[in-house]
Amino acid sequence: MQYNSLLYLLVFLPVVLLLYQLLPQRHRWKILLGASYVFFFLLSRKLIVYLLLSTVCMHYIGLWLERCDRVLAGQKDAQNYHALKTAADRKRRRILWLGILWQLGTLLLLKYFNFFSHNADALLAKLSLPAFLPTLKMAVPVGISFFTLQAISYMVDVYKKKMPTDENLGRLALYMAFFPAIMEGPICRYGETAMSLYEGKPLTYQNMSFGIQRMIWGLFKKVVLADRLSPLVVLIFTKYTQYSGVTVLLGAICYTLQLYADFSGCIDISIGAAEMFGVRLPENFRQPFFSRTASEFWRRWHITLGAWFKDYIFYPLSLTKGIKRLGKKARLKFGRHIGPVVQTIIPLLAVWLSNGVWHGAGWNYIFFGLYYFVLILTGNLLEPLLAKTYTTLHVNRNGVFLRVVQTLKMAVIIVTGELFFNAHGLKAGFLMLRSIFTNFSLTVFRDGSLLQLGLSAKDFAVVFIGCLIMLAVSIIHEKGVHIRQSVAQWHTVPRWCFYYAAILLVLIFGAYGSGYTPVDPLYANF
Amino acid sequence: MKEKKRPAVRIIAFLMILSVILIGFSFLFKPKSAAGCIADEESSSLDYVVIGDSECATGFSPMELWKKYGYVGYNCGVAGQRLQECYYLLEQIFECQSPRVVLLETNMCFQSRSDIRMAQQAVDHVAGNIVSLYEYHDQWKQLLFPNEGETAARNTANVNKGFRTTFQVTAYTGGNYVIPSSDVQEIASAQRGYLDQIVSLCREKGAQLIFYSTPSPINWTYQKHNGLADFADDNNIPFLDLNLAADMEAIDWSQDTFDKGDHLNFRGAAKITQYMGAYLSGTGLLPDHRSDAAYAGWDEKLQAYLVGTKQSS
Repeated sequence: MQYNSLLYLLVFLPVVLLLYQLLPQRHRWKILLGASYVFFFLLSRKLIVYLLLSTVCMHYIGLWLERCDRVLAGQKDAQNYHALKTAADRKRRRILWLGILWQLGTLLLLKYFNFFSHNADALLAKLSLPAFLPTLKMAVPVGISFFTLQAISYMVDVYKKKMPTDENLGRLALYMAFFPAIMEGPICRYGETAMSLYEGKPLTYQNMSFGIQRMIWGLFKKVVLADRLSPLVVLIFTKYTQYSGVTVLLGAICYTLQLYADFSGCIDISIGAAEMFGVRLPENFRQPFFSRTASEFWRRWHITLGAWFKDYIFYPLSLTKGIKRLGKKARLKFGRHIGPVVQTIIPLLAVWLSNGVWHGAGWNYIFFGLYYFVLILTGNLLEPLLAKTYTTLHVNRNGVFLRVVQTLKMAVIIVTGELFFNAHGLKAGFLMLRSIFTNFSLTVFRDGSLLQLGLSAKDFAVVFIGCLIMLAVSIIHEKGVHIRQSVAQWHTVPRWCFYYAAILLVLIFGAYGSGYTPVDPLYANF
Repeated sequence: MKEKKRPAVRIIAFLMILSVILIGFSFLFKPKSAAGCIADEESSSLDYVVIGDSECATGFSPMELWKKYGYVGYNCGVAGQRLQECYYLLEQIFECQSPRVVLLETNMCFQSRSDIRMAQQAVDHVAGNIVSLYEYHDQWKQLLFPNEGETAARNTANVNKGFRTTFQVTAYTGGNYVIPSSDVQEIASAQRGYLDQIVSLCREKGAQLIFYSTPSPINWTYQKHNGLADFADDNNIPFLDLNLAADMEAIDWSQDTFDKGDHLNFRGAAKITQYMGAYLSGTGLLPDHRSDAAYAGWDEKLQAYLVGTKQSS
């Protein structure tokens, strides 16, 4: 059941809303949990067992950690308290690692075992040794990459005593399975969402109205833009050898737009649906194409994933004794600027390798992660040099000219990254990139072949206008204007006309129904 | 109390106006004539339709039947189509056409689809029936650009009458796949339900339903054949299994498939169509329209088809 399907929008969601409102407040979370499990079961059937096991595991790890604390607290007056505390800390660390290994082990086994076995067997074959690792036929439950990270963040936060253990298994289960976010995120933190999910706030006119508006905006991006671009993207990425470099470049640009419209659109639908229940999910995008550097891009694109990696990989690694020691030595050897940058190399590498691997089992994803690692590291290293150059040349770093140049530079970087991200393998990615430079020909715009890529001139027109609308909305958001609140201040007639126009826009110009192939949410596969 | 009521009143008013708008747009978008429900074919102009999945779309060329017998029909096969969608499509076809014969390619009878997909399609179907705008939303292209010519792709589809032509050859090398068996693969209950509905619909509309199976080592099994033969017998439906047709020009699996035996290429499709043409000719169900002035356009398209399929230059 896709978030943009009528079954979800007109049947599932309204039924859940109705039941939610009919029940007394203290029981409402049960409706959300039941609906979430039904939703997950409909998508993944018996694979729901992975979600259940993951939930039970994190629950018991939390309880176990808490028990350790209680036992230690009871021995506060003991003479050997310090030794007991050291032993308890060691035990707590082991418990946490057990939980993390369980969660990560399941994810690695289901998603990455075959990738590992294929590559290991290929390596053995090159060494003229017999292959011994089997290929396993395993179905992967929807959203496992997302709920695994949520489970780990809960366990780590409990371990670090950022929050107390939650003894309520139902509340934890709802945090893990909440249906608007189970498929594509955003990746929630227990401390931010669990209580509001459990609270069972009554439906309000404003929440419903704002939620529906957010969902319509998401539907616009997903159905009008992303799904319309899909045939062109699939064709070019599948048969790139048959097309000129310009066509391949067009495919990469269109894929970048499609991915953004699809992913951010589905996130809008998720956030909107949650908003209807009075639940605020974290934002996942903040006008990413306005970024001026690679690191800024990742603070604006898939924000919750970037924040997760920062909090649970980058900082913990940076604070290990070895890395701190390395930083000290690097500062002595390379000075005050390069030293700290050197200190971040290993944590950064870990973050970007994880980022690449998280997206999928393929060398192109690993390359994608390393691509951003190199860009961000280079950016950090060159920063003093750039600052000096701008000062010498009297260039205003916040001037319009530099901002435009940097944004365009980032557009090139983003499109190149997405080309590898969506290529059918790393080799295909390099061949596509090479063809852009070696097979450059503008004939596609003259001989009519542009219109044989799965999109008619009318489709291109819809995409163009759709992108303009998306750009206008992004500019307004960038200026800090809250569109829905602004529209809510309008007089009823223009406001309602605006709502009707938005609904009609999606209904009329959506790429759905006869003649269109349904496109599953792109990030649901990661 | 008044304050409490206001949101409810506003919601009802909003929804009522929205309903009026949707009804108005539905009226605007719903095609005034039934023509157009199968590409650009005139309403009630076709005598037969072929329905099925990609086996059907790539394995049956209506223009070959026009060329030899003067039969007018359309290949409505859609890649990946399931019986449920096929049933909805057939309902739609009967709204604008009155085919005497419906040829159903049987591969989709064993294609399973999750219940949730089926439920999703059922909801879409109901929504399309209630709000025509949902069904015909793509009409904006015709409404905004009424005089604009068709795209090359659509023209090709129209010249080929829905047949998807492929000339590539990728041989099937798996050897004999027709292994006799008395085992029966039952048609799943959900699929059987839609098959029953298709049978009823054809009977209600007075169309002769004929099952046929395109040769395919990848998709076909004797067990499936037995399951279909039982259903066809029970419902008194002719069933031509071309995997077993000894009197058909044999499929050369080194030349007649473009994807290792999954689907047929043009050469293979031509053999299937010839066989089906001979069978249909024997039934006398279809009239020859070659001397009918109303179908003169078919001859023009035939010339384009012959060039497109490299049968003439």
